[in-house]
Amino acid sequence: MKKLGARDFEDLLQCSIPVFDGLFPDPYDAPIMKLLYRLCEWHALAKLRMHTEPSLQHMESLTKELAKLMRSFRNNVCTQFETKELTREAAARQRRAAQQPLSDNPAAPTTTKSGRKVKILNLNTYKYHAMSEYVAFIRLFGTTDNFTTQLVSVTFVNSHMGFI
Amino acid sequence: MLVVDFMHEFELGVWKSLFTHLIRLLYAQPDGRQRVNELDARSVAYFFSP
Repeated sequence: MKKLGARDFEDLLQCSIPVFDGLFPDPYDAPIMKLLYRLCEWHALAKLRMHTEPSLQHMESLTKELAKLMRSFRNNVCTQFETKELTREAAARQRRAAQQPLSDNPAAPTTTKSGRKVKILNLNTYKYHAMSEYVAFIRLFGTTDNFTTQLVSVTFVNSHMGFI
Repeated sequence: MLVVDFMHEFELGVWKSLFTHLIRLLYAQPDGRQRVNELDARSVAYFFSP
């Protein structure tokens, strides 16, 4: 599970519902399952290689619902727990800090870098914000398989095996 | 105007960050370690099966 590519994350998303089913305690299980279902649905619609006006309208309303679900997940579920960064993330942060030359950061004591930091879900990023623009771009340029970078990177990966 | 990039934005941005946060939420439970182990076992069954 160390070096996953985009297609691995895609596979993980597609089987995320049975994998996460029942793992969260009761009041939180239902909203998370609903969020995962809508996310899978959005993913399938965004990847669809043929769109019609009704499917785009459906995706438009789905994007709105997904955004509401995301916000309510952040506000109602995430706030109930104190989430800390994973051990891998903490280790990576400590390695980064250790590589910084001391002259850059002379005041920072090295002893406080141990332990895991509290980490909250950040929805205020461009990538989340851009989800609202997919329908407009599909209307402008056609379905996403026309302009996704996955084609190029898959060709690149396969070219090592296939074209030699 | 910046054209959206499905793979890098959704799969490696939105979903990856949400997936990581769901694992953080699992670790935040009282028996978090067991829950993540269960998640791993299920993932192997579904995701890594040929």
